[in-house]
Amino acid sequence: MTSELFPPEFFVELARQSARQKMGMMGERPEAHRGDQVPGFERRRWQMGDSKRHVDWRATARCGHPVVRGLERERGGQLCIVMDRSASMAPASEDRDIAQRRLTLALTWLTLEQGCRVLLFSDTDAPARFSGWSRRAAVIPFLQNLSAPSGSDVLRSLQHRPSAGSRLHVLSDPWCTSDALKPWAALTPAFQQCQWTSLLLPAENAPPKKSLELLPVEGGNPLQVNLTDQYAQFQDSWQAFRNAQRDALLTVGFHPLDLVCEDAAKDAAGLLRRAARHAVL
Amino acid sequence: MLFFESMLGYAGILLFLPFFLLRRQHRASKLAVGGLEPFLTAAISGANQERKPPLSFWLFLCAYLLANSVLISAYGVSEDRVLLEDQSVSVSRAQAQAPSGYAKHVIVGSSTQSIQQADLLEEIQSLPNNSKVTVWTDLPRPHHLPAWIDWQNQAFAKQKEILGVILSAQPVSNIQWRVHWAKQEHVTASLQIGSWSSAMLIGEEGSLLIPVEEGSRRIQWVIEGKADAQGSVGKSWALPEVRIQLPAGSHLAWRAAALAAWPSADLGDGPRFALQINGQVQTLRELDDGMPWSREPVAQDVARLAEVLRASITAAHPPRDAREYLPSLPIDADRFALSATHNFARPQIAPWMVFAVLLAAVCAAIAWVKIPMQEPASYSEV
Repeated sequence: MTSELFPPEFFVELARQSARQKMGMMGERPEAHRGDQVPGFERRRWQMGDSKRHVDWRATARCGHPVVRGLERERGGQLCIVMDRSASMAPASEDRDIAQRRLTLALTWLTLEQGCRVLLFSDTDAPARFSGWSRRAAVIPFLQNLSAPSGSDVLRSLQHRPSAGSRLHVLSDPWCTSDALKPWAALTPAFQQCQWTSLLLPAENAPPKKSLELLPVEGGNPLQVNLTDQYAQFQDSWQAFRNAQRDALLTVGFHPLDLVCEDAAKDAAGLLRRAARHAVL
Repeated sequence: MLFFESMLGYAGILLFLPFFLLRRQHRASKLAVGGLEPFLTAAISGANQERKPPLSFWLFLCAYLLANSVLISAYGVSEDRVLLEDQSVSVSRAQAQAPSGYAKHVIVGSSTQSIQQADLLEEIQSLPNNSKVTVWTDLPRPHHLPAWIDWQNQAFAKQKEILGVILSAQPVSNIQWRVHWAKQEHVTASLQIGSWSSAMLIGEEGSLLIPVEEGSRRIQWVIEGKADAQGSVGKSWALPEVRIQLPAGSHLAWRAAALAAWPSADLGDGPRFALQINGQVQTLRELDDGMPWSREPVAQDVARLAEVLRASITAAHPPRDAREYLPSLPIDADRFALSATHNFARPQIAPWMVFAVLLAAVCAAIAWVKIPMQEPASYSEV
């Protein structure tokens, strides 16, 4: 990573977005949702019947008497985030890869604050599970340690079949063809809400107007095109491709969304603002 | 090396720059993409279409060529590459081809005009100051020759050396000729004609009387007692067979005058005056028209006949220059006051050249503005 993955301004904007989501519930503050499902942030004195596993030993040392972390309940069900980690996520620059990780952290962070559980499907064999308000920060090292995008598109994502839950959010690139989307039709009915966010690079919307040798990063022979005079045809073809993809996403049950990823070094906060404006967050 | 010594070479480099930029502009840039499907339409319909350069490009090209031609005409005259070719007899023996591609070609010497190193250096002195001279000759390179003079005599290095040469032969009587010879001093040699042989010749140059028998007219060198049967240039001399035809009815005094001019000549009668040298008839109109053949000639007419006859025979059989055949030593070029470092003339810039350069600059500026630049990538959020 050439850019800092999670710079300070990202967390400032994330806190702003978190507060903005609370505005719908005036008077409420981020607080623990007491329950009996996951270890929470608040602590209380140890009582008879509490498990020794829940003892917060550092807090016990500070207080001088046994202290346990109180249990919280999960609210809002479960969010499955599928990160497309194919090579097309970072064809020429890592801007989209970084944007995907930042969006994943923002989605996980905000979802955990709402008391939901998050399952992250990436390039690992099994999904990573995150639950509890206090576990928000654990997502950061997980995302930092992801390997660089590689391999082919859908097949890898489908190896980890998302368990049925409440919501499904796929963070992908715009290169997924209509045929490659068809297998998702078997998965989407199990979810209450399915969202597909295509992360677009500016160069994909407006490639250079000159002769190009196109190198497909997911395999295939290079292609020579001359966009100097064929730019209008390309724009038409690109729009047709995007429309076909949008139709295919709607057909398989996804709600399609697009988000442009600008220069990762300068766009950490802007990305979150745009994501909130386009209802990605 | 020759490339960088020419202004055209530098102009070629300047011309290469826009060509390089144009090629760079038209070269396909590599772009990694996630898929190819949206590009297929553009690839199929635009693969074989060459983009025509805009008018501004041609404008710029014309301006650029104009500026280059101005530069060449201004600075190109500052250096002329001159070939000084020696075409004397000794060079023509070698059958070596003179180099080509020079701006100016100066020929020095001929089959009848002998050339020495001093003649070549004097010719170089007479060339303009901005000349870069290549000398093509078989003569040895003079000492202290400036660097801007390229003395090329390597092609003649393997030429066979001549040991002795017969320079000329003049009849003394109808049976005796005086032969002039020259040879290298260390060579022991004699002359032979028919069955007659001379004594061993001493020194570098001299003359001797030889008897001419009927039927033997070729004089040959016998070097170290061995006759040279090859008869190459310089080593033998064929005595010319001269026949003078006087007009019928000519006064007897004309016959005596003709024999006095060339004692070995055969005299004959004919309708008009004619001179025959080795079977080749030569018409001498100046004698044929104005001479009073029927009357006794005066002293002026006799002298004129002798002069014309000798000049004609000498022209057909010119005497040789010993320096042209025998090896010579290098001379010192310092005495010819040739500059060691060449001061090329300052470029001559005429007002029209300044105007042309300004016009080229204006055209280039217009073309720069007119050439469509690549727009920055723009997109709109979807």
